[in-house]
Amino acid sequence: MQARHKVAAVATSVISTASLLAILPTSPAMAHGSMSNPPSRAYVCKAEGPETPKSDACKAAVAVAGTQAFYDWHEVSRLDAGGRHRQIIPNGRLCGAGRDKYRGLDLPRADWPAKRISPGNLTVTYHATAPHSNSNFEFYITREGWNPSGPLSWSDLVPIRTFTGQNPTTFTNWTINIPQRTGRHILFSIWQRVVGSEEAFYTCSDVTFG
Amino acid sequence: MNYRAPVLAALCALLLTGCGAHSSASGHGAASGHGPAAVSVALPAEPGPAAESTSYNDADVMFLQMLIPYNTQGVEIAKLAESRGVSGEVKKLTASIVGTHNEEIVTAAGWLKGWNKPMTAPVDEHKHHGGMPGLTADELAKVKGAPDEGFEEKLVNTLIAHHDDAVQMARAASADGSNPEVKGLARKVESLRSTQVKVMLKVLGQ
Repeated sequence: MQARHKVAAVATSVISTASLLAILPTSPAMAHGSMSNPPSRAYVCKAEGPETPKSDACKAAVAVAGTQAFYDWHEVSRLDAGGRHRQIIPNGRLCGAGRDKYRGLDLPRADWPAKRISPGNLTVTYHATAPHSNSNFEFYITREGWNPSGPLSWSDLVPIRTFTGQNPTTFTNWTINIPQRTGRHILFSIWQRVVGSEEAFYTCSDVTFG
Repeated sequence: MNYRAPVLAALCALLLTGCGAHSSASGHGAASGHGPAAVSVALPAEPGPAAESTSYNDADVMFLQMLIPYNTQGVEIAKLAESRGVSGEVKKLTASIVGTHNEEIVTAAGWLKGWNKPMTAPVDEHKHHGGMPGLTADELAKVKGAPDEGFEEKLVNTLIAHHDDAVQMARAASADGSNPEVKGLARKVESLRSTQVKVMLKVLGQ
């Protein structure tokens, strides 16, 4: 490996002898989206402020995993999903897309800020900072009897509805039919891009029934 | 970072890539809640040798063009440990990150140069391929300015997030790339970052 020796020899001087600079945009180009209503955990903690979380749940998420997850609230995604959500994301890691960066979102606690909703028609809103056409949106809710103090597993999710062939805008609304539930639950969504990318986005929105 | 703007603007004339991208990205930044971040990319004075294989696709090129600025930022974050009170374990780990990130930059630059490709990609291409993650200047400044108490945790968590983003990029390159050397580098990036994340989680007691 002649190449390796060469690499090792120049590596130490890479930055100090930089010959050119380029400017590159960072996060803005990557920005995609999350559920804004009912707000996802990432959206809630982002709104509270990554440096100044207010709820105990967001404070705990920042204490465990830092602030960057909430600056990048719209990137709870997997570039390699291609519909294989259940294979690539382990049980208990659904809210954070199975990513260490987003592990704070998976904290099993029953005090995540939750929106009060009722069974029947519910309008939900997705906030896409960079909308991608040709997408599918899937919505699920936790089964009756799910323990909100415990982890979220794939088998806890009951499908509500899937919208295929969607071309989302910055704020996209859908109406879904919420089944009978009591107590705290999670509304889970998957945004799967279909054309030109395997990328999928995941959200956990905490809700409570009266 | 405002003081750098005139210098960077002047250099746009030298590098056709990235400059137009920067101005078009500003609008996105406003919409996303991120500032219009700019990352300075240090290119090696001496890029590594060209790749042996001349067969490659867009995903190969994109991965290398993302790895260079991403690693540049990773080095900047890891180097914060040098002048701050962090444990010996974190100092050792960040020094190792600086070394391997720089090696990867040299390798990627050599391959791109050999294929006559720019070192960075226009933002429109990033959009198609999943985009360019990373810290904005403000976010980086918050890590730099963090008080000593809790600095190590903040630094380690920032590095975990940064590594985790690189794992995503590397997996996409492994899946969509075609050049055997790029795919090998992508697998190496995924494996190395994943191992280092495990070490960092242990440092945090998680």
